[in-house]
Amino acid sequence: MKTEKLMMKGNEAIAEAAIRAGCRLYFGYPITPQSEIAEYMSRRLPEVDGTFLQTESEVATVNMVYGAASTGKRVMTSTSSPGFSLMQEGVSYIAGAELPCVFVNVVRGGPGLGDIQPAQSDYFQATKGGGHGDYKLLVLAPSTIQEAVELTQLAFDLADKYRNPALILADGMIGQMMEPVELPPMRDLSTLPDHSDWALTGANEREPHKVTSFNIDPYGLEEMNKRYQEKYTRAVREEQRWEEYKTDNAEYLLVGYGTVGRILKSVVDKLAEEGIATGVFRPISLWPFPYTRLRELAEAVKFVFTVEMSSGQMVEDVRLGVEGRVPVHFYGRMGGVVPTPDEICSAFKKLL
Amino acid sequence: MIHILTGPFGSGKTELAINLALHLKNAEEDVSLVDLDVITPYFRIRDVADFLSEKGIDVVTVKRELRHVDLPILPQRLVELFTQRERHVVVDLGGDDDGARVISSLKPLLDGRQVRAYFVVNVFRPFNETVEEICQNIGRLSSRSRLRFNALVNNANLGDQSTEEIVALGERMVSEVSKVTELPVQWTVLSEELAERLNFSAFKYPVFVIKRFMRVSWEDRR
Repeated sequence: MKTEKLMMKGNEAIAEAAIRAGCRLYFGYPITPQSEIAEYMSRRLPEVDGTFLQTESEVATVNMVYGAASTGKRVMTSTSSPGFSLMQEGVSYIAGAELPCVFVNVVRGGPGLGDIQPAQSDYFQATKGGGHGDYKLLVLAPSTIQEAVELTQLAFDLADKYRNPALILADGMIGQMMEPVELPPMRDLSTLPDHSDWALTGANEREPHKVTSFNIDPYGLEEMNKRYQEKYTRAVREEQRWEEYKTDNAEYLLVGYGTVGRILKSVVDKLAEEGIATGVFRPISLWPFPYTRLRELAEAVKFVFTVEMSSGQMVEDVRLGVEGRVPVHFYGRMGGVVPTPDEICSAFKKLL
Repeated sequence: MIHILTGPFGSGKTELAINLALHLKNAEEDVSLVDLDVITPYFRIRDVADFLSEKGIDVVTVKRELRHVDLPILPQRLVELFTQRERHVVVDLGGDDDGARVISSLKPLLDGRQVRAYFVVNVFRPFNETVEEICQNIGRLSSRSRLRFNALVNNANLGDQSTEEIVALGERMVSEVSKVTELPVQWTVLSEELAERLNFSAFKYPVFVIKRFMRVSWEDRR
């Protein structure tokens, strides 16, 4: 007797969603608050003829992902902040080699060793290039466990569509909290995109494929870079995602992603009880950032108020989107502190 | 009496442990609540320790300065506690095998004491979705913990989406598990929110109503 819905932790849900999206290869090194992903994969992947491998380090992990992604199969890893920093060199190589794969960063307090509490202070690293070179990750930020399932599946599809690594940026709260989820059916592996024109599948009776991220001829390397940029331009056009909550008739716009996006809905409801009309704009794709819609919404409000669990990172993109049309204010908590609806209400009302 | 709550990862042991401790305290008993969860990084007894202390419960957890340390630290005073016969000691273990292993190391302290070990199960959790899986989990955790379980607890729930049918499905499955394992079912657990709406006579087992403490800050929206 299998039930239709399950109570799952975000980490478990992300892992199961990846398997159902056709991921059969996982490499990873444990780190709190995402270790349940590795734990779950170690249990589930053997059941579906997949491979789970616990590596000796994050540097080894990312290079195993690089190698596995070269075969065109769906592959993923997950880590938390310091671990993702260690992976950055490999992430840049993977983007340069145009390989689809999925990373999950369940963000904790930083910098340095930081702590194991939920944070959003890896936004710059995720969206502005954590590694070297002109590359971008496709970055998705869930705010519920159900959405974490959907975005994990989308991450694999986008990675394939753009032949580029995708990143699920979840804060520790999304990784650890438990909610009911409805899981999608298991993807038939024969329906996954065909990568036989570039993937390393054995060169018997054909010319070898080469997967590299280099070209020692600067003009050649520039051509490669132009190709990347064309993809990124297309992604900016086609992949901006967001959610709005009570933005019709809002006099003030609150902006936050992930867990904070969710807290802001409580804030909007509380303020509505006091007769203050506010709405939430919650970016779902952090790269490409949904500038276009934010700009439209900013036209109709008195000011924009951004809240993050960081010193203020996404707020820079909010300012780029708003383009000075109205003031952009900021409230943040750091170090793994999750702001409460009440404290955000107070911070907001001081601006009135 | 030592009450030990064990079970799979995420089955609701912590919520039940807190509520059991409060229930015993309301019956004017001396109660210690022991946080032996070395698995979960968030949503633990130590996170609501101050509130529980105010309620008069002796909360036994790691030192304040070590509460957020990512290490499997056990609290002090366990030897003293487990040898006090007058007291009710409620023990919250971490989930699954590694969580259960902790109590196994304390077996010498439990021998000869009055112990009630509960296996808490939510049939809506991964790896606990069939009678067969649950029975296997009971066998494995019993051997890892070196505990002989006394009773099962049906904690079937889907959080805020729980309904009478959800809880009843849990009862049917746990009842099957009970037949196979010959363990009685101690309680069917209902959240306060659900208990307000339901008629308890619909349930086969005694109902234990719990208040949820492991909440997130934005849940006060409703």
